Amino acid sequence: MKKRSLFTMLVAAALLLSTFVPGLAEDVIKIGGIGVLSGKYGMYGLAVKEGVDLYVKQVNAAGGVLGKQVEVYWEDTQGNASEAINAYFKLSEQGMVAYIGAVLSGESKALAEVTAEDGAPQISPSATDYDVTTGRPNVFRTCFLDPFQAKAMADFIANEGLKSVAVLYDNSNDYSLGLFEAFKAQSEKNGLSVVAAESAAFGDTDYKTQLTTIMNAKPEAVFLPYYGADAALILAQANELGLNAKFFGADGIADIVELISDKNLLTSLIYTDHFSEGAQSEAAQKFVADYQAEYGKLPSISFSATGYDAAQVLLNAIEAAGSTEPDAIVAAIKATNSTVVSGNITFDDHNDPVKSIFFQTFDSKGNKQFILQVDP
Amino acid sequence: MDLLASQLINGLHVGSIYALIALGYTMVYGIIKLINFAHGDIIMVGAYTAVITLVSLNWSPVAALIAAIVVCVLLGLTIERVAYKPLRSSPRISSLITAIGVSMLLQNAALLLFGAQPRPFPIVLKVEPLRFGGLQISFITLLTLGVTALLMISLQTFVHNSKPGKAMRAASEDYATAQLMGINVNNIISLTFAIGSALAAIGAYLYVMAYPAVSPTMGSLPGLKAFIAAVLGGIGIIPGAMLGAFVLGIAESLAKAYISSQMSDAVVYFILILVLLFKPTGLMGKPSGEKV
Repeated sequence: MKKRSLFTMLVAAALLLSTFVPGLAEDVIKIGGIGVLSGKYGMYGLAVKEGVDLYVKQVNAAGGVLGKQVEVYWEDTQGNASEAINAYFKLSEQGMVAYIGAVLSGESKALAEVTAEDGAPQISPSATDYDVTTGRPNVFRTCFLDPFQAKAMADFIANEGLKSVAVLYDNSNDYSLGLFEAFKAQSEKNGLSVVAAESAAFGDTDYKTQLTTIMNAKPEAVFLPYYGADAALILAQANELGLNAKFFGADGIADIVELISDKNLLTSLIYTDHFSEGAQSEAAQKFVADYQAEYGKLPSISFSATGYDAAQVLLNAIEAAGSTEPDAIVAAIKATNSTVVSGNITFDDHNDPVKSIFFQTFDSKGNKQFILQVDP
Repeated sequence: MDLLASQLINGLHVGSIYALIALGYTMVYGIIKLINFAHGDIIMVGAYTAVITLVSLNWSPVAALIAAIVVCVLLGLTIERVAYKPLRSSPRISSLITAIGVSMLLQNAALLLFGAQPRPFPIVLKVEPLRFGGLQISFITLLTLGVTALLMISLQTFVHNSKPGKAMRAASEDYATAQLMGINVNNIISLTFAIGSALAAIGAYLYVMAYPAVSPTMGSLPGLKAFIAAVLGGIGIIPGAMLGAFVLGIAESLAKAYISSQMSDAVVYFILILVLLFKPTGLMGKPSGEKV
């Protein structure tokens, strides 16, 4: 009996204390960080977190925002949309000023749904799905969208002087399909002839039939809107068949390096990314150096750069707004026009960034090689 | 014309890999009337063995192949002893469910051990594609076709001419009578599993040479297709498995090339349904007489 009363007292004391904590910490600006930090896609969330934490650390060292220190509270969603909503409710009770996240498109949409109700400022560093920001004036992102990179790639191919393209895409995947449609439309606009458009089903490992058809159409360029794992199989089979063409991909293909054994094949692949370690701008080079000093590795997943940018856009907006009122912050984010590590950034009517895109390839050892940065 | 020929060759390549796997299904089914659903996952284990010995232990490609065969044979024997033998006299459905259980166990164990991220299979053989006029055939395709044909012929000879082969056929015809005739049926069943698993290991090796990615679920789809091939050809009949696999591979390839990728599976299963409607025992199956 005595034990229980002691326990009750402890709980009561803890509860009492916790109600005081926000009062005690009023000189801190709290930011909620929500995203997938573990599991299959955990690497993307961790890259975002590293970028955000790095920027916040630098800002705090320089005196913070509005004279206050900034603190980021991270919640792991495990990639789950309902966990993202739970994380929001948990964090909002602790008095967050704004949110960075989520990481994947699905969880970002779920999070946007609840932040939109409260009008809480939200910036996703990595949700590329169009609908995330639709009808939600409080939601922003610092990564470009899929149609944007597909169009940029079609322009790049036309500028390279290539005349005929083929596409191999996954008909059951929104990412692949979205890229394919935007790429095809822009290619035709650019006067490229799309000589073959072959699709594969989800989970296929054999692409030789489609590649044989593509080979027969003799394209100079082949666009592969795929993630790295599938692209590795496609490149190996194209090589086996003797298909000689240049290959092009989008941001999702970047992880192909660890998934392919014949690194030589990567030299014929060019893809679009949100950031490149080889970017020439001062901000970008400083970021790469700082990141390396902090984490002892290169920012190889570009979402560490867009995460860094998201933190920068948000904290600059709070400073510009001069308050932590949600509406003032949202208005200040909307008015953003600044140079961040992934180029210059402004927001359009749909709260999507108008920003730079990076073209990269690989050397025969699988190291990423910067080709070109295209500014808006 | 060249395009059609190339697509036929693609189909033969896929078909010959299905065939190697299908032989394992058909042999086991022929003797103990069990559809060994774990067979596809033995391929996965063989592929992981090969990739680990090649990459982490730096073994030669031949040593890695032997390692894959040894591991798969041991695994096949263990599965038979632990999971199927105790259920041999129970209803067939129990063994079938157990087989699905073993398949799940292997997949999830691999997921736990190796993670979901696929591992690339190194290049073990680098030969330029061969040209015949306008036609271009990759060496791996030729190798796969050759190995499959060779193994099928040896297996057929073994089953028809050797003593253990005859015992196998006897056991498949009548399990109890074979036992009465002094055949050690347990050993024969073990031998069947061993041969089936060894073929799966070779199939796995050829598979990852063509599709160089090793992942925990890699075995399920080829396993399923091979099973369908075995049924199509007439399950329990060795040349039937081979024929079924080639028909399946070519149908798949041509459907992808000339109809649509999305429809290719639908086309393949439609063929299966048609065949089974008119020949319920498969292409090479003999009408089963009522046993009295």
